[in-house]
This record gives sequence, C-alpha cells and structure tokens, in this order.
Amino acid sequence: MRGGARARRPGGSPRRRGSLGRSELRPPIPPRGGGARACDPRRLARSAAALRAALRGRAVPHAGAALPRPHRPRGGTRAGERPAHRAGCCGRALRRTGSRTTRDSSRTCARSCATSRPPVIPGAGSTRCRSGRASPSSGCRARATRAGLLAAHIGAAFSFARFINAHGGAEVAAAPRSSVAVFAVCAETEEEARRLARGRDLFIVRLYTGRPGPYPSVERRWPIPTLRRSWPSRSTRASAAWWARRTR
Amino acid sequence: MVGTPDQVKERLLALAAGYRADELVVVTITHDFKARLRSYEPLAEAFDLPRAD
Repeated sequence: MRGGARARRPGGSPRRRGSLGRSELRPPIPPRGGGARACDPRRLARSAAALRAALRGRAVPHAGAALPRPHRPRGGTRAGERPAHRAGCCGRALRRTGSRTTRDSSRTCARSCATSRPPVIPGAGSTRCRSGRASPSSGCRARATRAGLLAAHIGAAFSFARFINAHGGAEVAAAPRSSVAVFAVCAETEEEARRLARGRDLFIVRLYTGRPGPYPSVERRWPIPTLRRSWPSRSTRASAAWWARRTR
Repeated sequence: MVGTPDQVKERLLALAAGYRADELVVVTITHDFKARLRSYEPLAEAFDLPRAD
C-alpha cells in the first residue's frame, strides 16, 4: 500500500485538494424521490457512473466500495499509473491523508474494499478527526459533503452524526430524508447537566490523545492526572478538549 | 447540548431547523445508567413523545 502511494505519478501534477467547487456539487442527474426507484440497480449504476464523472476520480470514502470500478486489464498498467488493485478507495484514501495515514485507517479501508456493501450512506460525521488538531482539515468537511451529495444523488436517507464530527452537514437538507444525531445531556439543573457531560469530555480527550479507555465517571479527577507531560502536548490536549466541546 | 430539558429542546429545535433535518437522533452517554435514563425521560416528556412500554 505504501509502495503504491510512493510510486504514484512520478512526473504528474499533485492532486488538487480542498472542497469541491459549487458547480461540481450539482448532481448530474437531479435527485428524485426515494422508495423502490432509488433501489433500482440500473439507476444506482447510472447514478454511480455520473457521480464518478462529477467527482473526477476523487475519493468517496466509505461509499467507495459500493461504486462499480472501471474495468482495467489485469496486471497491465499504463506507464506512471498505479496497479489496478490499488485503484480503489484504498489508494485514494491513502493519497488524501498522505503521511498522516495510520496503519489502522488503511486496515479499515482495506476491509471496506474487500466487502461488497450495499450503497448505504453512513453518517457524514463518521469521519473522525484523528489528529486532534484545533482546526480539522478540509478533508473531513469534504468527505461529509461527498457522502451527503451521494445520498442526495441516489435518493438515500442521510444521517449526519454531529456528535462525532460537527463540521459540514449543510448537505443534510439535500437528502430526501435526513436526520441529525446530537449528543445531549439533560438534568434538572444546568450545573448537574454540565457535571454529567464532563465524563464525555474526558472520554473524548483521552480518545483523541491516544489513550482510549472505558467511559469515565464524573467523579474522576479533571484534568487527567495520568497523562505524561511530554506527550500528548498541552496543545494537543487543548484541541481535543475543544473537539469534545464542539461535538456536543 | 447540555442543560435543562427546556433548554435542550429549544437548542435541538433550532439545530434541526438550521440543518432542515426531518429527524433528530439524541445520543446520551453517561457513566451511570440511571443518569442516562434521567436525561432521556425529561427530554422525551419535553417533546411529548409517547412512552414505549
């Protein structure tokens, strides 16, 4: 996988990154109502082909496995092109994330390629910001946009998991049926609710600073006493705390 | 969304209107399961949801 990422397009121009332009976001086929027509395999194949053309080969993570792959001769690759078996969402996902790609994410991606899932659109917010940076990359937002665009395009319902990733989500309005998943804590008083929500903050900070564990109780000391001083850095912890607040 | 049921309801409705979403999925995770129930129940009452006995 890594070799493929290194060997890609030696003399080619770097792939353009960032969010899609407005004109590219317009579905080539206007989305119609859901129901049986949306599940018609011929319509799905047509939509997928049109979507692929609209995205010009850019990745549709998670949903990528459901899209039909373009036919390529086995073993025979053109000069400067990656082998055919790396042409799917794995390679694209690796290229997107570049050096930040972890072994975990490539494994997940490989699994999603190996299993042929129906074109169910997962929550856009499921793209977690692993880096814990204060300003998540536009990739998160772009991925959400693509999943939402795909849902609107093939007439599928779309659920935006705001409690995981609060960025993006405007495409919820485009889907025929949509929902937003939110983290909420209610209590009789505001102070009590805040106290209960602190457990989640601690959980998120631990998760995004590489120390996942069981869901902590609110009696646990705050901030985390067991973290080493050198790593994760203070800024990493601060941005993870910011992320926890942002998604609730 | 953290607060009293009325506060949370108000924010949830504003959020749903902002996203133009048809549905809301409320996720509440707490260490104590009873606290979780005590969070869901008043919120369900605030939204006049029928009990699923």
